[in-house]
Amino acid sequence: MNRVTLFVALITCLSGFPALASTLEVHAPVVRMVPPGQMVSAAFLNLHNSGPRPRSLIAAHSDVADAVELHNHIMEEGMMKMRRVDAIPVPSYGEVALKPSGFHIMLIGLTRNLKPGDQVTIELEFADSERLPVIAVVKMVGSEKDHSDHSE
Amino acid sequence: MLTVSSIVGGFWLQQRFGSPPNPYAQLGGDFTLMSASGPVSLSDYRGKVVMLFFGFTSCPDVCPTDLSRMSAVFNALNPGEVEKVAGLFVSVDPERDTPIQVSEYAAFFDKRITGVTGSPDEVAAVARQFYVLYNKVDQPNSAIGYTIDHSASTYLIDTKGEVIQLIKHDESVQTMVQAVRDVLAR
Repeated sequence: MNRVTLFVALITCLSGFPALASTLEVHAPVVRMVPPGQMVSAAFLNLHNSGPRPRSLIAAHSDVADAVELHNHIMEEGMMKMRRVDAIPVPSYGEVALKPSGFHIMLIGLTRNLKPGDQVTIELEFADSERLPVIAVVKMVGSEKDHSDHSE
Repeated sequence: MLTVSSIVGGFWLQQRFGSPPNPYAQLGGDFTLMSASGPVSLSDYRGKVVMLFFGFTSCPDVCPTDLSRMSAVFNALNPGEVEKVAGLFVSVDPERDTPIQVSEYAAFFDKRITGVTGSPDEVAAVARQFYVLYNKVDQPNSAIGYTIDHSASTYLIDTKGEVIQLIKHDESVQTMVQAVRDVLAR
């Protein structure tokens, strides 16, 4: 390692957090549209990590619900089971999908009725205390209504 | 619960019936439950293919996913096919869900899906008929309070009221559309 590389490495270390922040990217954040009066919904997104260190999503925060939790689904004994998890791992140079029937962000006790197109701010919190704000759009997830014309 | 699981696993069916032409022939049968607009029986749908799913309205993800898929199937079928297909959603959470809530919930995903429920005993009887498993589980570490673990397959029932196929929760819309068409063509 020559002196210049060492210097660059040192600067990168010192500037620390901005460098870390840039390694995480959020794609396609959505909140599931649910019937009016429904108290729970879920948020889905793809988390991409372009850095060499595995990361860990440990919490999410939002004023759209009284409680915001990380959950997962498992298929066991012939039943779908939803359980809270402490963390969702984001592999180095990889990504994790928060999607229906898998990892997701649970919004429990919705504080307002959701409408398609509404924007919901969610803050993701990682184990290294990085916080990443995300704006998710409310939409029907999975019915593919917009694509019905493409069917045979 | 384990015993029931192994039944669903097909062990009992295989042992008792060998290799029958329709492995689901002993599943199902008629039932009557309550919707927002009165009693609904499975036999009301004779002549139609029925997509039948069991869940509950405060189900945060699995039920919306399956009901949305059911809606997507309706959207993918042509009008002539849609006329011969029905969607039915049975709530296995009669403690919380009223017939009105279940019907409104199902209709939110698609007006062509009818939501029904009944008394805890009536619902349990229907679940037994279809070997549907459900289990109320407290979630002390979550604000959700309790959730209901449940079978997440969609039952395809033919025009004569017989269960023909179980579509797994993770099967695609395309697979399910094809399965519905296969049952229609029988």
